[in-house]
Amino acid sequence: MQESKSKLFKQRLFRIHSSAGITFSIVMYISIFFGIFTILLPYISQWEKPSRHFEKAELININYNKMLDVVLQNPDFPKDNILINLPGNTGDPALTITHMFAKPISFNPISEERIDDETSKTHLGKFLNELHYGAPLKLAGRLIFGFVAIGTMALIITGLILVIKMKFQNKGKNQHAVFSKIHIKILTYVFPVLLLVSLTGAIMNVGLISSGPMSQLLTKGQSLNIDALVGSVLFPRAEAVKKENKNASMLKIQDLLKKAKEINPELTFKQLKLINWNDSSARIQVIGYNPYKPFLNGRIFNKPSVTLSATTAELITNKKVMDNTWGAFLSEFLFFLHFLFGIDIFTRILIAIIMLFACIGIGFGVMIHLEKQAKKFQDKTIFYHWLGKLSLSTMIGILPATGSLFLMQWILPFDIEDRVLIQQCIFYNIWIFTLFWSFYRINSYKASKEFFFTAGILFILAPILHLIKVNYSMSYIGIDITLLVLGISLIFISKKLPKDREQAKLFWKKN
Amino acid sequence: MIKQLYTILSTPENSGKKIGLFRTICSIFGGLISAYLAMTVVAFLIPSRIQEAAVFSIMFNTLAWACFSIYIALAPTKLDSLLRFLLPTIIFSITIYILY
Repeated sequence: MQESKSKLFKQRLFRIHSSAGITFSIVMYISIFFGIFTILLPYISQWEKPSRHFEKAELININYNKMLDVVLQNPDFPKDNILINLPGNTGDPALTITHMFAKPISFNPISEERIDDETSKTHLGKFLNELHYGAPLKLAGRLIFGFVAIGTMALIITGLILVIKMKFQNKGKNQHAVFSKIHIKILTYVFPVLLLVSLTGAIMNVGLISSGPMSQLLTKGQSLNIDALVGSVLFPRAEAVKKENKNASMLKIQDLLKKAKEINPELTFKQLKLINWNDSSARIQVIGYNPYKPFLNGRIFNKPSVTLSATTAELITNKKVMDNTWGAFLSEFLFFLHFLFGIDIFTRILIAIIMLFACIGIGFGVMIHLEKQAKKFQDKTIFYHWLGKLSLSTMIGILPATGSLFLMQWILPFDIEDRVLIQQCIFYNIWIFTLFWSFYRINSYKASKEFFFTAGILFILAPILHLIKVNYSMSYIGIDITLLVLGISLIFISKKLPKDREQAKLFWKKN
Repeated sequence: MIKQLYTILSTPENSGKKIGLFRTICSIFGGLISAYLAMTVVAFLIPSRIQEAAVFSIMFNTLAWACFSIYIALAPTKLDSLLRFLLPTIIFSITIYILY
């Protein structure tokens, strides 16, 4: 009796894992795939704008007050709580002056000239980010991606129990065994990162939307909105400083920055907040990030800052990393790996590689299922299954579609009307075409080879066109090289992959 | 009639290779309800300001859903899976009613 119980338990566990895996894997793959691009978003969203191709400036040498005066000449621009995003903030070399209720205005910090934001003409980085969490489908898309994130967590948990209980041997030599070996090996290493990332993804897409009843219960019926409950912990509002209505001359912002650096030398400055500017009660809040305390501070919930008086450079408050409540620390810790705010390029690339492996692991998971199905038709007929074709077009067809997105960024002229729309339409059309093509080609191996090859060509052409089109493009040579390497490796993969099922059997045996 | 239903629900299935609609619905919706109520109770029980405790509950709400769903789906019989959903739901509802 006990034996049959444990047998049933194992069977059920396996069944839950495989059926949930098939249900969620395609959307999960899409999310993680675009997530890799989103990790590099700060660099991509500058790479896409010709106006941002200039060298970075030293923070101390910039004449902030001059640019601020240009903005303040406009009487409609709000005077209180002006935000200045410093150059280098999220990879942007421009200095942006903005306000909660005003359009951001960008400057080249070296020449001190106003530059165009091109927001209506280019949308590449943001679009990749939107695809990452299902935003093109509005609320429905966000909910679907959120449920998939919850499913991913369930899959990780069942997978872990399976690995502990079943003691997989990982020794077989046929295709099925090789696939399952790769699937298990990869995902046992990357699961902690994947779990944190999908947990935070689920919070943002489902957790916050569905939190109404809980906040109502917790506040004993006072508020339906979650912001009223946790807002005071996560986003504490600064008390308004009273205006004295006396004009005063402001100190130079460079000098105030130098002073702030002396007070808290560990901070990397990201943003300035100007309170009651040009009044004798004026203050400047220098917001930063402490790179020596990762996971504890960043850009959303816990922002260390130094507040100085703008007239006398006197220290008002010095908010350090550890001055916060545990609720804020918990959220910061969970979201840190998802947003990677203020993180340098090396950590970003490391996380991107981890997620790439997660992608491959998920792909092999689907292949295990398809191989099981294909075995049933062994030597009888060619295996042709709708799920296989759908997975082929979403998982590999996504590559040429994304490649076209990067290429269209530089093929389409910048003064054309509806530029963003055309670019996105081409992307969707190519993606749908890959679906058609994978159903049309009976041999999936051949179709995937073709997809890899075209994607490789597109990814190689994009950086070449970028280098031709933009004069000073050396500052983003990193992205160009990355795309080039990606393209070359995709072509390499397309040459290496087996041509049909018979070859595939030998191919996987060798490895 | 009730006895018949009871025997159907309480006999273990012969094979675990099919999950079945009953278990699926129990695990997805039952998991959601019991996890949601459990996290609300947790927020009440954390010895801290309610605003801070709520952060914890909201953050781990979805993970709790996943855990409860698996726990319900893995029950040995259909009756067990139903009980694994109903018992926590009733207990937590009463606790919330008392604390509210």
